[in-house]
Amino acid sequence: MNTTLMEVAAYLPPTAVPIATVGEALGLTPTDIRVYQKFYGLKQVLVDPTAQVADLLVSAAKGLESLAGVADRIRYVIHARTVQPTGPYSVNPLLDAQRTLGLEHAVAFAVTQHACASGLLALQLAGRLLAGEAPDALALLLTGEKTYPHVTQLMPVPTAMGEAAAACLVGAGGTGDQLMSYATRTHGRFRSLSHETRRAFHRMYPSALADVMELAARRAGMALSDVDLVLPHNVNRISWAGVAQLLDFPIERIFLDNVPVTGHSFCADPFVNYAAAVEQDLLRPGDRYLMASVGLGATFSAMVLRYHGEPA
Amino acid sequence: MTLTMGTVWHTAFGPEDGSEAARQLLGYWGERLAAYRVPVAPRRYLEGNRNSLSSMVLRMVHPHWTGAPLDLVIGAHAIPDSDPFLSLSGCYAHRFDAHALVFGVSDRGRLAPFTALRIARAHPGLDRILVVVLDQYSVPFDDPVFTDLDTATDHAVGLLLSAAPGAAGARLDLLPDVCEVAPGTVRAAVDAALSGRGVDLVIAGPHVGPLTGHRVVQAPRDRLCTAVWSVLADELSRAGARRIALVDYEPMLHNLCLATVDTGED
Repeated sequence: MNTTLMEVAAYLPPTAVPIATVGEALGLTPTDIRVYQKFYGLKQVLVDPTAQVADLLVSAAKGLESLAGVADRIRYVIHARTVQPTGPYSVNPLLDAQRTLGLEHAVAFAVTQHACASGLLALQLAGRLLAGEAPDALALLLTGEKTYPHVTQLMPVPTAMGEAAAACLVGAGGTGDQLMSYATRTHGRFRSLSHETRRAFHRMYPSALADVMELAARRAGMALSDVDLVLPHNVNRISWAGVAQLLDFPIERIFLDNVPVTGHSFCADPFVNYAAAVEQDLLRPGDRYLMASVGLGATFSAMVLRYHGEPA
Repeated sequence: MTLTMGTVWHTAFGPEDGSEAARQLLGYWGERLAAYRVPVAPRRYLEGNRNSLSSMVLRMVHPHWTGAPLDLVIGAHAIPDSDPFLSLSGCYAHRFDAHALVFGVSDRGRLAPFTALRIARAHPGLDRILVVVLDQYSVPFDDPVFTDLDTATDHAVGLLLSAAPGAAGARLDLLPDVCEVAPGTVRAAVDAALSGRGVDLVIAGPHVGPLTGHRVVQAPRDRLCTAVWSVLADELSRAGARRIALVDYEPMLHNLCLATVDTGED
């Protein structure tokens, strides 16, 4: 299996909602909000109040420069989702997005049950599926969801949810960033999203995340210290500081620029961060980067890829 | 890449014992439904069976659990979970084994099991794969899809599979998915796909329509993803070598999926 990430596009919604406004909706006190700002590094989230789920996905996909030229090669359209239900059954945002993008010839489906770590799972599955297809077959991986108060209230770590979305073109072989490893671990003790398990989850979170990152590095045949850049999920800054300290990994090599900008955007964070890192010229050809995400339930996942360079 | 099919079993579920209605779910759903101007219909959830996907998978695995860990578990479903706050992967890890890769496949309508099987097939070498096809209907909204369904009964079909070379059991082959099939052209698409394959029996989903030239068993109309697979479970309980084709069509997607199962010795 030779999975390649060929191109990534991010959609950053136009409306910035200050964390104070988000916090009020969540029932946070002014003191809580100051802690979110100063301690957790959360300043705002980006949302698109007029957009439905399908609009978020289409906006991200339209950012892919090569999409129009390769549309007929796309065999799978995969929506990786934190929250499986999007609305009533007969309204299918993925189908709407697929049709808007002119990809009715592809097989579209959603991957779920790893919550916010479903994006990394879906990337790995896309490569596996393509291994059984024609050599030039591609998959379009979509991430992006609407944020609702009930979901944010259940987050066991302090965070604020945003609506940034991402689209990835995935191939099997060919030009692009090579997927070197994937690691995932589910901790069943935290299977239910209850308030009661939050404290215990909070305690084990840094070590569980550190473990899966080290496992992904080992599976890629390297040490974690060899990773040039970590593209994290954007739950908050302080949790990543804890993980960095635990791993003795320089926090400067964890891309945290988007934490105060986008907030935590479900499965999209690592891919949104990838697009930003490329735009900021933070990756050089041959660099190894690690994407990491944690999903409620509780699934910890990481993958290592080798940066190719310019979009294929 | 092929799959070998071991045990296939179908279980019908009534109301789940001890499942308390989580009223916060109504607010959770309300947010999602409001975006599409669909009202919350609490009764469908509050008076439904409330079998969560997680509990159904655990109850499907339990009688067949030998202690030998599964490598891969995929839950395939159309209707959303009655308890979306409960993680399938977490529940499985807690109850059975934390090392299996467990996840869900959806948004494919009644064709989700075919996609789950395709993903299973994409894991060559794995010897213990379980695909659980799931239909439950306890969600707090009304939807046109419920018109034909028996929402008083939930269903699950377990498919124990191997993607390892040389495994014993019936051989399962997935035919290429056919997209952009208009409802009026389903029969022609099925005929073209099955032509020359020497099929002894076709298990056809309720939207496939009448087929000629084959012995056909029509899958029940009262369920979604499990329709054709529950019939397969019955058929596999009968002895004899034969080639069975499974055909299902999803009118919402205009997609057609097909598979063949070769049972017994030639």
